[in-house]
Amino acid sequence: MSALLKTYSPRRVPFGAALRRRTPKTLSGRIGLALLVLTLTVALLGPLCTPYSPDRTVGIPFAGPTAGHPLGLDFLGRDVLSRVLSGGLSVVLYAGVATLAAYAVGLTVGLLAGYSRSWLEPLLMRLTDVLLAFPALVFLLLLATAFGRGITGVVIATALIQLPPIVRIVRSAALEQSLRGYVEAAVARGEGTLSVLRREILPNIARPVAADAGLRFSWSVLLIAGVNFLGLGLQPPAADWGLMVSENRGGIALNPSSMLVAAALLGALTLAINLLGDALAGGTE
Amino acid sequence: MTATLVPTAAPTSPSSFGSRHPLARVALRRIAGGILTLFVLSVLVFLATSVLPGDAASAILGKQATPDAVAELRHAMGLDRPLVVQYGKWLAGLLHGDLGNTAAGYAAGGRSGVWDQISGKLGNSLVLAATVFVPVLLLSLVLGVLTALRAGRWLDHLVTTVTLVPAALPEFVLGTVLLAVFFTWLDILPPVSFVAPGASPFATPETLVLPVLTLVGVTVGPATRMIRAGMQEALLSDPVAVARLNGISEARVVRRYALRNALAPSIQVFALIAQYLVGGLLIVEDLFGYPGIGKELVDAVTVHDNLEVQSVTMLLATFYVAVTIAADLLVMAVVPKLRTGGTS
Amino acid sequence: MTGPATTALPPRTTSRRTVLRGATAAGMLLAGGVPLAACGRQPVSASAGPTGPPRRGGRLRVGMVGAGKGESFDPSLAANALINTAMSCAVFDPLLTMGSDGGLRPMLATSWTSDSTASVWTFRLRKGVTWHDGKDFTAADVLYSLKWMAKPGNGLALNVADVDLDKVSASGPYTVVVPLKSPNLLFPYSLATASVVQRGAEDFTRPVGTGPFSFVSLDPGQQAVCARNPAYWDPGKPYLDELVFLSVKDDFARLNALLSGQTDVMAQVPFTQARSQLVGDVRLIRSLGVTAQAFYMATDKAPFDDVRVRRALRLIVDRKQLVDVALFGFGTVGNDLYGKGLEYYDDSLPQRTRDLIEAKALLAEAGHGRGLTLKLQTSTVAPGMVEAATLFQQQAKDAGVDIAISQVDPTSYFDPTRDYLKMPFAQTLWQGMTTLGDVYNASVVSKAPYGETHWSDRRTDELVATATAAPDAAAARSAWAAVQRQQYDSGGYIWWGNVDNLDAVSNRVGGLTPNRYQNLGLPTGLNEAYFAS
Repeated sequence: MSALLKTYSPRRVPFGAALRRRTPKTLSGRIGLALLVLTLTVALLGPLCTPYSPDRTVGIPFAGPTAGHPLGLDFLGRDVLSRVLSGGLSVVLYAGVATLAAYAVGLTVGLLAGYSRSWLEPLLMRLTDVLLAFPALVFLLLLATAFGRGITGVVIATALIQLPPIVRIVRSAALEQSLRGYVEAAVARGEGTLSVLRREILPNIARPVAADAGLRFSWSVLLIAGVNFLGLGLQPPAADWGLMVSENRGGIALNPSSMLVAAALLGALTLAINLLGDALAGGTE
Repeated sequence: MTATLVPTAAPTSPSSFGSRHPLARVALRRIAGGILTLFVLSVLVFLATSVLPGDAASAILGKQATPDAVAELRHAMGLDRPLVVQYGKWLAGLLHGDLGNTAAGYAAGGRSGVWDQISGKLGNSLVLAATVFVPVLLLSLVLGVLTALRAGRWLDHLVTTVTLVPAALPEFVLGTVLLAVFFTWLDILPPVSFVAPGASPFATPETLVLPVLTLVGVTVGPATRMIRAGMQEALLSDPVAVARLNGISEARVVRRYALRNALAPSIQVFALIAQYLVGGLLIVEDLFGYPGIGKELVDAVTVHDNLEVQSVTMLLATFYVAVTIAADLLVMAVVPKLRTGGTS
Repeated sequence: MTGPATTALPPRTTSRRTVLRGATAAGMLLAGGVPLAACGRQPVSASAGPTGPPRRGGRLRVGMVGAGKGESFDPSLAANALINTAMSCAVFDPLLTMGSDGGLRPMLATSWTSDSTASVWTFRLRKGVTWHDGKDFTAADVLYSLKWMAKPGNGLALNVADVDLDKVSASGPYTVVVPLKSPNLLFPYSLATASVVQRGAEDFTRPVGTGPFSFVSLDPGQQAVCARNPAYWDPGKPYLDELVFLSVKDDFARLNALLSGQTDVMAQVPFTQARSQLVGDVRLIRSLGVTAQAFYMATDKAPFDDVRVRRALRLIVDRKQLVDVALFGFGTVGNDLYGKGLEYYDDSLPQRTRDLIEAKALLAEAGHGRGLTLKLQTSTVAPGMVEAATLFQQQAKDAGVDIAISQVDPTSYFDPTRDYLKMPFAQTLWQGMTTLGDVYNASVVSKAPYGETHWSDRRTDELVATATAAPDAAAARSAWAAVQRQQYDSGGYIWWGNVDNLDAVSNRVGGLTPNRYQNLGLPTGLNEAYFAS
């Protein structure tokens, strides 16, 4: 998320004023913001305040809620509340890392392709086309095989899957800007390519790029959760919202909260980003 | 496989074309580009699968794998030949419509063709994709246009909320919830989508309901939003403003001008959905036991049946490229402006 | 799903104890476990299934744990997965098999006898048996089968390892003489469940057998279909017209298919589901199999080359908790030896229990007083395995041992060309073994093909050899006691639990009963299955 906020904060406006200006005006936007704050708080601060060790078996599997365990126990008899509190960090972290990595590469390549008029542009775009045509599932499976079951391959695959669309979005935004007068003026002033990209083009494409980054992040969350569900990603005993849903599917009749709370938080996180993205996009008109 | 739909930027269009060039020229150029893309992809996927540790011979022999047995199987499968030879043989076969033999067949002492192995599953996946595509197309078109016209009103909020909530859930969560409701609780739908080999999924339509509901649930929201955005943009476009200024009735403005301008982005949205639906719906297949190409691909990767992985990858990629090109051409056909220059 | 043991060695039932065990298991048909009312469905109650005489006809749909591309009718791959075992048992017959009384029962052989030293065995074959393609079954098929099994890479090679192949001969069309390299009183057990294939058979994509069902179709990862063999030599059997194996990898989908009536039988019920989710008109078949789970340590790799470390880890394990949580109570605690219930298993050794003080003392003595960090390689190859690893990790913390869990791809976990047999600290599951000779020849002797613990000791080899070829029961018992005492004191296995085999069956289906050997009463369980009227 820091990537989103950082890219998003405009250059010469004081932070407070910027924040006020960015606060969504619509109801759905505010709900989105509230949900985002809530889920991020749980995800980031939760691991610090777990009542029990999330890995410790403390009772009978799928025991229902009690005073000591308000959300009951999971399929191995571990405290669900503690696991919910510790299970968000990995969701945010790995999706964040994948999105960040994809953007670090995508932004560079996209800017180069969009601005440069050399042989580089068609080459980069053709490579992007190839990557785009590579089925996402095959990417995931091959990388999972290469790295063994585990989160590394999944994060790399997620970043690679995100890369081509990012390159395209950045490229078309940069291309549009590079035709504007102020860029030509900067070039006329004798600014170097890097300087033009960094000082002129980048700030001006920050808004669409930031909106896209938010969506990519929520998409990464869903993708990684799905891969974890398939057992190709994060491995037990890791506490992770996505993993918790799949592990505890069998307990839906015994202790529904072992699965539903994690599912709700996962849904709330992606829903929040979507609502917020909508509100921000709507605000630009 | 993809967890949800996210708009990709419109594919690159040829940057400049003289107006005397007909659509056919563009089409030819795009198809040539597509073939080049697929060729590069074939090299990539071949290398990627070949350098991975482990091979089909030892994976299928499992605990029985001895060096001798593995070597014998590798030889039968041609895995002991140079990579270039293997690649050439595969590509030549592919171009002649021969996808080769499966590793499992070799391990059982016989031969079984990759195509025989995958064709049924490919068919099942296409049936599932088509069954999802049609309602998503209709729903998102109607809802997208409606919400764009009522932007900011209660209907907009209602539709947005109702469609976005399922879309915000991972497929397996939505599917699990639907299973709990329609099977565990109401007991009106079968929980597992068994489709006998060779039989059409339509022969047992009830088994399609839950997978279709899940996929429609996760797809309609984003699709509606994209259509809505396209329509909103169209409503703010110059021709629409001019028409309004000319005193043309709003209903007519929408019908004659806005919808038309919203058509191009909508085509791209539907292309995205089609690509998403055919890209391997692994999670839904896994959850409901539906015998589709996603599961087939996982099985093939699991035993390192490279030939099958490569061939299925190329089939999916070809579909992807074809849809991209078709959508672009369709957009150009309905929006003549794009043919005469400018970038999209 | 199955451990290395099933691969190569025929699971066999032998001892009289089996009978008692079987009876206990029958009495233990589980009653739902934790009661719950799941949305109107009622938890299963103890039920013996339909009563009345078996009826002919019907199509039995069995939901099995899928093995994807590995699914095959090839008998040499049978032990790779239960679904393969079930498939090859449907189409092929062995020479002999184990009956429910624990003794051997004739199949394609009607009788078997040995010379006085148990080193030459003579099998008389059943006359009038035909292959599914109409050809007659004769001694030539058996001779071919023995040589086919012995080929390297054939999963049945160890079954015929004792056989002196060059001297095997037929005396007449229905008699086979099998000389052994060394005497073995229990040799016929090696051939129980080893499927006999047709002379010249190499391609098993369209298998031809003599079994109760003939091959119809196979779509790996999806389903296999077999049809009743009307010419089966056992009159009246099988009862079913058609047998369909549905490959369903997802545990929840497999259960849901049974509960909704999309399948009639569910093989390999996960423990959680057996405990709480079997509801409606189905029953659980709980068999006390010879299945056990262990952690194992390579005794030649540091720190496990120090016997004190091995002993400490054995004392750290809280077996009761592992059985209660990882197996959901569907099992009994183990005592670091495989084979509880088998002939010559040493029941007199005291049950090992958790002793953290002693464990810490041993670790300190071995120079790990400040703590020890280990990597445990686990995989989802068997239900409860990863859970056990997780619990062990927790339990070890109490003794200052830090265990990092590394999860390995289940498809290669037992692949000896990959990491299997090279892992210093990992988990295993053995099942279906029925003589200690098989167990120790496969796992502990110096040249054991599945020497997971890298145990290498000349005295052990001698003791095992003596015990296997023992001329009488008393000699065998004392030799086996010595072997087991050594492993109990200093071996590399931590056998923490004996695991029950669980299947679930619709109450419309009869004939399936708890079986000591394997799930679904295999190898012959499905011959007995029928639909009640």
